[in-house]
Amino acid sequence: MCKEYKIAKEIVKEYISKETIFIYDELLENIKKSGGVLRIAPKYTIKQYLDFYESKSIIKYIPKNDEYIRGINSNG
Amino acid sequence: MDKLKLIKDQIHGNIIFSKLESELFSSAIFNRLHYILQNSMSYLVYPTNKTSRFIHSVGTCDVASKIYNNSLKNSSKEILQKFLLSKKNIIFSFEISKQLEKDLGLKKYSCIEHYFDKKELKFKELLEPLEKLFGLSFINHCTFNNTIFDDKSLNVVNIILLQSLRFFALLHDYGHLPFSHLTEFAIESLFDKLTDSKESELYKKLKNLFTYEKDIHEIVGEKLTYLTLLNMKENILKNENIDAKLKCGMLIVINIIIEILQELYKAEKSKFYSLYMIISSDLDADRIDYTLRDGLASSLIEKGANTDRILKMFKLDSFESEIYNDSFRFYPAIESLNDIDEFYLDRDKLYKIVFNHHKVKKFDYILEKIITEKLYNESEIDENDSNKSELNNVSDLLSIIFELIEYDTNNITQGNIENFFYKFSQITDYWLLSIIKKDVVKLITCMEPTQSQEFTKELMDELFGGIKKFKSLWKRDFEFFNFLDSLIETMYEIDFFQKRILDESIFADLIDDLNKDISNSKKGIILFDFLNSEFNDWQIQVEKRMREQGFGVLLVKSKFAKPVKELQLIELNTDRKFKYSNISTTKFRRGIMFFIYYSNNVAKSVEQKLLETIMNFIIEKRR
Repeated sequence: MCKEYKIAKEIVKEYISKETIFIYDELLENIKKSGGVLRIAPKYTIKQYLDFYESKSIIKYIPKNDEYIRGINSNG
Repeated sequence: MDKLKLIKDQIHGNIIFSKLESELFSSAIFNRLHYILQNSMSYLVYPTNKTSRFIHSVGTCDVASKIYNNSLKNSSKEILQKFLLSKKNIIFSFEISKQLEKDLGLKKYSCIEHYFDKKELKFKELLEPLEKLFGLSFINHCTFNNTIFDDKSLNVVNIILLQSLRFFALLHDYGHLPFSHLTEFAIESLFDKLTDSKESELYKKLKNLFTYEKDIHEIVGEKLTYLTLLNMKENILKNENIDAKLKCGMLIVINIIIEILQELYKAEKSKFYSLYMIISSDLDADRIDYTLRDGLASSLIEKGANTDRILKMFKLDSFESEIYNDSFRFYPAIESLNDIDEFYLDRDKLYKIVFNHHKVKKFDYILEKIITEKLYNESEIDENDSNKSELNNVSDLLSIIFELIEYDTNNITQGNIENFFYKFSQITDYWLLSIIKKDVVKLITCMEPTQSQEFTKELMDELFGGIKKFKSLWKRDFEFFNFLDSLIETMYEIDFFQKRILDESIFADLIDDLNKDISNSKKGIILFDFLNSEFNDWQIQVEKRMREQGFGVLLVKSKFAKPVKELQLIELNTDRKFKYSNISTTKFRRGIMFFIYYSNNVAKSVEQKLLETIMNFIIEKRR
């Protein structure tokens, strides 16, 4: 798998495991600045990857603030 | 009065459309969707399943209109008024007068004042331009009596919202490339394959393409939509038969629609998220249309769930939440619960029997592989001449996507957009097949094919010659789970789970959850790995290694219907809300997660070899 995907995946995992709250756009900017692309594998976008964690209630997206919060199991 | 315009449809009957939509239907670029199949190669298994994106888009538009209109009719006056007022305020915040001045340029019409009061839009004055743009018969047909519409401005807002929603529905698949997702996947795989050519111009352009967060068809679709609406504005500006005042009003309406569509593309962040959800959510117009249409086209679902009942009982109500920018929702009614259950069962059946049929998955993947290979082979000779108007190579597809993305919307004329649309409209399923089929002839006549050409020939024989070259290791669920059991047993032997995943505390919850899902502590973890980022890596490496050992093998992941998560139903009399997942007793089974196909010319012992290869790959990855 190419480096750009690996960079993206590592950064997303780091955000999920270390940050309690993070801004989605900031995460995307960080990936781009670090030389990654907005995919963690072919056919797999960052948003889909985050959606998967959200579907397992590990993180929750707050559209109004464009942020993810870790460990909240709520349906808004 | 103008003539009512209708399209005959086998699913929804006679579908009404507006004058503005008629303009869209008369364009080369929208007609391209006639030649993009909804279900790629599934017609090789279900020969009548040749639904086009064109009719699916029209059907989605019709269902979306029904959800919108029925919801408004079923809602209380207070809610309806609140909803339209809140959307009116959002439209007020758009900088429409500024945009209008830009559109008109030097030809500033004094009649701008007719529509603005100190830069504040006078909505009720837009009624005449709306009638001219959409057609009075369409408006009469799609609106209903309610005293809140005594306020003409709310009537205008309602009509504009409906037309914007219909455009959003009609254009939701506008950017699909040939064979829908297949070409898109091939482009993504090409980027992965070009990892050693980082200095090439193509690699850099692809990398730039993937700095957009959305899928390629969404990026393409949004830009095409924008250009289409700009072109409509150009047509109005150039039309000498429309008087200046009316022209101004029509431009204002198109500018509002553009702004609403831009807002809708923000999805859950959108101030029009309730409208967005009519097209994309747990129970939406897109899903309803494709389930009915593809189910019938595959001769799988003859009548289907009673969706008419579901649609008739939708209701608009408020949605109390701190986290969204839109505090309204279009709710299906709890009174249609049985029909909703039935609808989901139909959809589940469609995924299981059609979309994830072992042969359909195989044919789709073979075509995807052939396209990837073709793009890769052409990448070295790519001249990248974006000025040529005839598209003769598969790689021309990339040139035109890059051209679209870089298209300068500040410097457009009616002529250059239409030329570009004609050029882009070449990109269809038939265009792609005709190019690929030329290679079939070349391969058949090739006297000394390389190993790679031999393999490609095998793929093409299967796809175009109807010759069975690849067999699936399993066709039924239990066969798949038996294989998974063997794989997991072997993984346990190498202590894979203890060391690789469980030390990452973040995954603990996930593993628990998956364990519950699968009711087998071992399977949950492997499914997590397979269904996520790992699969593509496994796919490429395992296929490559097996081929090195003389085994032609293909690994293909299934695509499942998204589980119903957030859907809430409303009780029509009391407006009480119920979470669908809490009240429905319908159970959906998880099916085959991935398929493995092996070439006919190898022995059945391929299964043992596969297990060994996968294991070796995992062990190496651990190091």
